[in-house]
Amino acid sequence: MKRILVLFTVLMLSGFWASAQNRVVTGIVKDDTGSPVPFATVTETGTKNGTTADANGNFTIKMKENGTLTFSATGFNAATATPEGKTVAVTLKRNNLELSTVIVTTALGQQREAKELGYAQTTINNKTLTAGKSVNIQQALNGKVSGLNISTVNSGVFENAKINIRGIRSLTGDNSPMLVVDGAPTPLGYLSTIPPDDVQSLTVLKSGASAAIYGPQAVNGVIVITTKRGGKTPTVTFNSTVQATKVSFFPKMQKEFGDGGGEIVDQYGNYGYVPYENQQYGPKFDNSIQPVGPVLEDGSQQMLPYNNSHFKDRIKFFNTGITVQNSLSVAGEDFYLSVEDAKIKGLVPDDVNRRTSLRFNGGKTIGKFSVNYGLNYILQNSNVVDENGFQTEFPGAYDGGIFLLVEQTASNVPLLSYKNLNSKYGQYSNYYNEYAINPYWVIANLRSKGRNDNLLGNIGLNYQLFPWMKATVKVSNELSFDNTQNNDAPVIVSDWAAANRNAVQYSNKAGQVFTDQFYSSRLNFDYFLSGDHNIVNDFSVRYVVGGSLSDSRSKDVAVGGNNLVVPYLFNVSVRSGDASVPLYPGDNFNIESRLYSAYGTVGFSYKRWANIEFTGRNDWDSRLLKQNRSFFYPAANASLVLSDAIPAIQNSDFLTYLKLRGAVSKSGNVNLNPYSLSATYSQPAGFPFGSTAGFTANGTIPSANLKPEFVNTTEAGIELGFLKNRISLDATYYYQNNTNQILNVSQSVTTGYTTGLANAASFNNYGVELDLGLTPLVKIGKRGHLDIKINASYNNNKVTSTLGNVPVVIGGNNGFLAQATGYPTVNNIAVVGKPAFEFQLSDYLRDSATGKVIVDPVTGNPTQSPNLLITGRTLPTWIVGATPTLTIGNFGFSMTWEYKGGNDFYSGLGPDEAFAGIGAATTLYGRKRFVFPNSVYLKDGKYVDNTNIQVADGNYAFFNGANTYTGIATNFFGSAAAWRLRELDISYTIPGKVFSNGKFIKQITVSLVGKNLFLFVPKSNIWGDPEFNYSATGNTFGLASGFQSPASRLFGGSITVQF
Amino acid sequence: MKHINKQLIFIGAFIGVIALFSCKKTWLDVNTDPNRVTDATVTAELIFPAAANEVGQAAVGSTFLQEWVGYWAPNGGFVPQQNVISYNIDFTFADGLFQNRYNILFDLHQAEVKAKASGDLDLAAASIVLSAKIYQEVVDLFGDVPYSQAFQTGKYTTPVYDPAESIYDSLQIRLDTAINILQNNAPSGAFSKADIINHGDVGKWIKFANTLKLRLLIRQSEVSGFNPATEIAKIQANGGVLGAGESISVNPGYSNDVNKQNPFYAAHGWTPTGVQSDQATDANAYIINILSSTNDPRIGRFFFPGGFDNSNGFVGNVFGDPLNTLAPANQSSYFGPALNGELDANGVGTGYNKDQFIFPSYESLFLYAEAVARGWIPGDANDALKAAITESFVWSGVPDAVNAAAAYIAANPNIATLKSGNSILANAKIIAFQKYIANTGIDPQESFFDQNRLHFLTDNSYISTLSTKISDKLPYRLLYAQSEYTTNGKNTPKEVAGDEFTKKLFWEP
Repeated sequence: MKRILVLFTVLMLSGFWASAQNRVVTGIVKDDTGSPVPFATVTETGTKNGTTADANGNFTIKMKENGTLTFSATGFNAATATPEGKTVAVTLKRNNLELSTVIVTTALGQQREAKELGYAQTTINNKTLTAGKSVNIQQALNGKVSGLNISTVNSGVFENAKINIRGIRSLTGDNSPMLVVDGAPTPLGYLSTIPPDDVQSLTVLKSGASAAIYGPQAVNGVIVITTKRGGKTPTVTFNSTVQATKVSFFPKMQKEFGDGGGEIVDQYGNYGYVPYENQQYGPKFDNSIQPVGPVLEDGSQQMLPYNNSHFKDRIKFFNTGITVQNSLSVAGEDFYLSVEDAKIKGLVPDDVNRRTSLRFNGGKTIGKFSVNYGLNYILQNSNVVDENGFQTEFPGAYDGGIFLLVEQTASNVPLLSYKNLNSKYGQYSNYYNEYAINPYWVIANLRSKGRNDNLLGNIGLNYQLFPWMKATVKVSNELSFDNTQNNDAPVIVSDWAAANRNAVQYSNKAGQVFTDQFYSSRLNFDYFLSGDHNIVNDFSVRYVVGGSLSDSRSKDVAVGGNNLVVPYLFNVSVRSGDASVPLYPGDNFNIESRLYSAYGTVGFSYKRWANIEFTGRNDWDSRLLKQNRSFFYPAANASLVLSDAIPAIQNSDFLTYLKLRGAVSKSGNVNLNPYSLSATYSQPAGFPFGSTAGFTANGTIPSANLKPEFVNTTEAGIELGFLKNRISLDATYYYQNNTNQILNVSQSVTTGYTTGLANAASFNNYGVELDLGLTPLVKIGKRGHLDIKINASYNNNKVTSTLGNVPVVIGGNNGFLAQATGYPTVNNIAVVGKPAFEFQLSDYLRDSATGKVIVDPVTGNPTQSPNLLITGRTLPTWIVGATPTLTIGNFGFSMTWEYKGGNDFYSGLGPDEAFAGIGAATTLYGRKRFVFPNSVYLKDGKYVDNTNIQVADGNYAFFNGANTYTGIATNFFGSAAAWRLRELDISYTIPGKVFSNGKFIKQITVSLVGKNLFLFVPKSNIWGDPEFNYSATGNTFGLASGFQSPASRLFGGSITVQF
Repeated sequence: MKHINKQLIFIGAFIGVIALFSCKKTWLDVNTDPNRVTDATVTAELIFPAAANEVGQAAVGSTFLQEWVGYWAPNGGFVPQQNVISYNIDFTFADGLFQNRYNILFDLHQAEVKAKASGDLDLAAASIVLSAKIYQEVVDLFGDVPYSQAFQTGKYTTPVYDPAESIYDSLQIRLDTAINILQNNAPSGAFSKADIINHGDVGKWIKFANTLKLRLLIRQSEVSGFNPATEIAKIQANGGVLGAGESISVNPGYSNDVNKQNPFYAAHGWTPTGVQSDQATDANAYIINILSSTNDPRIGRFFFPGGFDNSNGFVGNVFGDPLNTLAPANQSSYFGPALNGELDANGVGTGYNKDQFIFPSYESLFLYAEAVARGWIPGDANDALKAAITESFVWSGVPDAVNAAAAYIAANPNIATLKSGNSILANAKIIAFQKYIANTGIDPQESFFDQNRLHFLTDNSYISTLSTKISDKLPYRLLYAQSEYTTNGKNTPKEVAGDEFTKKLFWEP
């Protein structure tokens, strides 16, 4: 606190220096579109007297009665004007030197010219963001920003994605960047709910240094979104986009063998056909007519050719999803109003998610007082298949998720014909499979409905106390109300099925209901003083000093009933037996945390080409013990625009722009849930029994003395512009030392707790970011040009210490495996000296000398090694994005390509596919005995190459054995490298003059858009999209689940009309 | 100046706001958990009922052991677990079992520590007795395990593995301590209420402790030079072992609802909606053959007749043979009324609210009989065996149990009576075989240990018939848990798959 007061006093004193002039002129500097030009330099022509316009282009200058003014701003041609009276308005013309003129919204809404900043950032305007007509912003950002890694972890209707900037800074804590919308800290989840059309500009602040003033959350970078605020000329814009989604990548499945699960084996060991199996270890297809399913009640049995004619039914099962987006916005003086509606119909039949949002932004300036405010209401309604209910209603069934259910259907089975649930073979009781349910029944009967109401509001009041000091108070709140209800219909089977079929699937079950209400509120209150002042000519100071309070609370109430007594009436009160009340931390909680901060920043600038800025912040966090609650962190950054400083460069035709920058910072972060400082107990399932309560210890033991994590960042960068900025290059190197990592350390169950929570590790994280722009690369005639933007990011990290140097398991090994026998062990793990993270997997027992798999000399079978293999890495080392744009007149064509590589992934679908005999890998040896490739066996005390000992059974027994196949995670593990065509956009703009002279319709843009059109992966990847992960939260990567839908591509058309 | 003053007041107020919040420290004191019971607020009396119930859940025999010792077998309705029918287990095989047992042991440990702190000493002693039972079983399944450094939170994050033998010795001492406490402290009202096992009956807790002491001794019977005399004397002096009618069991108030049923019934009986919970397993042809060839009336207590209308009689499946399992389910014999209660009108068991057995009385009597037969305790071994068999008949609910048992013994002299000319080992095997029959479906773990101690099953047809099985005999023990290699690798003894067939426990001859 002391530090800040001292700083504040210094700033106050500096403001009283002023010099006398004859008259005072105020004015505004604008560009040719009417938008203000911030920070233009205003000088009295021929004198050294000058000032700088503020962020809104406003300036005040004292000058001689008869003088003229010269206006200059980087990126604009200079202009002069002679004020008549006390005001003047000037319009500057852009000279298209894009690099240095970008205005960046930094902390607390302070606007800065990009060239002043000593740290890396990327600003994206509305046009770039909306080119691909993405349904949400996170999709639209893919491949466009260096250092940004967005992984779409599922293809469902909920757009789950993980976002990281510059790798990770916390091993087990949150690594997702902070989202700031119109100055209000907002949960990152809203990124998928803000319509891209509403965004005026989006800035990605990549560095901890840029973010020191934002506080702890900003340690992972900040995505700053400024929504549209309206303009002088009223515009009405209407946009409509329709996109289709189709399966783009299906796992490689075998198409030669039909159903069989080892029930029927002849004397030679050949497996017989079992017409009601879920496993496909039966005989080869031979075109004979065979039964499908059991003999039914009426004595009939479905008889069909035993061939693979229905191989593709499993792909066709998935719908063509449709996404329809309509938006209407009205921008007028001092306000912006928009309505957006997006309806997403998913790949899985009947999955639907609809989002409607309403935004109103406004502002008003009255003299020295100004106010701006924004209100955003988002309503989301979803209705999807309830895969969890599927697990609880059929415990012990071989069902996994919908995807596995579909895959479990053999190639001779006409899956699509079972869509009609009233048909003879489609009805529940007559479904052909004894061990699986008709997936169409699941879709029709087990539903999860969600409704989410979000209200975000912010209001900011500013008062210009002195020309050099403005006071600001800002209040923002984010309210979220979430309602989920899972309605699981009862199972009603015929008497015949109940008596004769497998009871796991074919017995009557009561309906189930689960209902959850969640409320959260995050209130932020910011107050600060800010201003800038020319201390002497050419030397200016700029400062912010203030504090903030934030209070987050959430509450959840959840209850379920498993025994509904009136079929299809889904209310918890209409049940028999006890209600189920799930426990904290998942459900039923009441959480509050608070943060109090004080901060200050001061920056000095000489002629705007030499800039330096210092920042300090102190936080008090309620989640820590009193003695650890307060922590301070400083930062500094500097930039030097040599091209402005050295006339030789300024006048050069070759090198147009040269800037050097550097930053150092320390950021603190409390990666901890509230109430984490004590070991806890809870009642196990079944308790309480009447008046008997019982508690069992939960699995985590925290170290009570937990301290914040600290990230020390150093970064340096260079920005270059050549040939009037036709070629631009921006390069950044960063190095982050992450200490005091708060970790959930897996520990032996024999300690009493399987998890210890402690400040237990440190690691460093470093990388290089490159942005290359060629604008234009080629000029085509008078009105055409081909531009290309390429960004490349290299990121690496290394774990430098863990508690006792014990490897730390970060996550995995559960939650993503469905049904295989002998679950493989797969974890993300942090090992000292290795990158965060590597994979830890079960592997075959190998000869340490050669790495070859050791097989038994008699059975020819491999066995599982007791040691887990640590290999690969979870995060990509290289991410490259390339966006070529071709513009010819009103015609535009752009693509975004993206490459990620250097990392690996594990497919949870793999062991399930092997278990069920679906995977192509299970037919590699034609289901016959084979010599295990690259294997050795022990002979006379030495390992010799195995050339002739075949596995005992190359069919069912091998591919179902935990030790021989399904339990070996390395069988389902490989490179995650991928090239993707993220976006394709072809558009044509029809100018308004075609229609009624442009009076009513200003312009119409028609475009064809495609997303994720192509995915190129190495041959070794036979499973699916390597970006998929079982969880959209936490730090696990590369652990694809058996419960996900196949990867998809989108394509469609869009029309935008501007009135 | 007036204008300036106004602005200075504004600034002053501004700083005041900042100062106000920075001084008001209590504003940040919102970190007391409103959602959960914490270490500071939990009591021994809150932990003990959950721990006792967990001990009951753990007493439900593992299905793989039921299958390995010939009680149960996969019925062909489902794909049998390849690792169970081939004995080809890996490190994940018993990971869940290992973690479960240590979770129970930790709850018992916390109950003991907190009870000692609050002065509820009998509750501490009861926790010690239960943990001794679980610890012995963990040692018998795995061998050397963490013990001396276990549960010392904060002190040892990677507990060492103690030698199995030293854990056995320590368990005897701990049980002595528990008995001493129980003898010298009247039960508190809080303990009597929380004790959902013996309801504050300290005499029964002492007998249970003595029985566990005897079980530790019997297990070591084939260790050469083993002398149990000192411990036997203590057992005798402190009131002896559990006798007829003195079963140890638990019941927090089981009812026919999800998660509320008797644990055995929940796992192998019927769901609350009346569907068989265990669809994949039924009787093993091996035990059915033993029971039916000796006209043992307990067959109808351990199993129900097979078939939808019970018309198939008592039928079992051949373990490991896909050609000889009966598909679909319900063709073979499900688990009978001794375990699941009688059938109601809908053909569903009524045992959902039965007490969950932890230590059946007849098992104590068999231990006693073996101790007599070995000459450790004076008495007539045949009488002791007869008493044990009779108690099994009573426990399993055979009508007119005493006479039925006598008739069974008279009709099967070769397997139900000891011969004076026999070696101690031969007589011990007869007792073990009777104990094995009595334990059908109830305690396969004890039968697994007895078989590895005495090799009393001479007919090897309980072994899997699967052609790709990797062994012709049962493993001596289980492989260590994968999670231990992951989190406590430096202390976990190094093993490779296959060691379970070669490396014996210290008490295995």
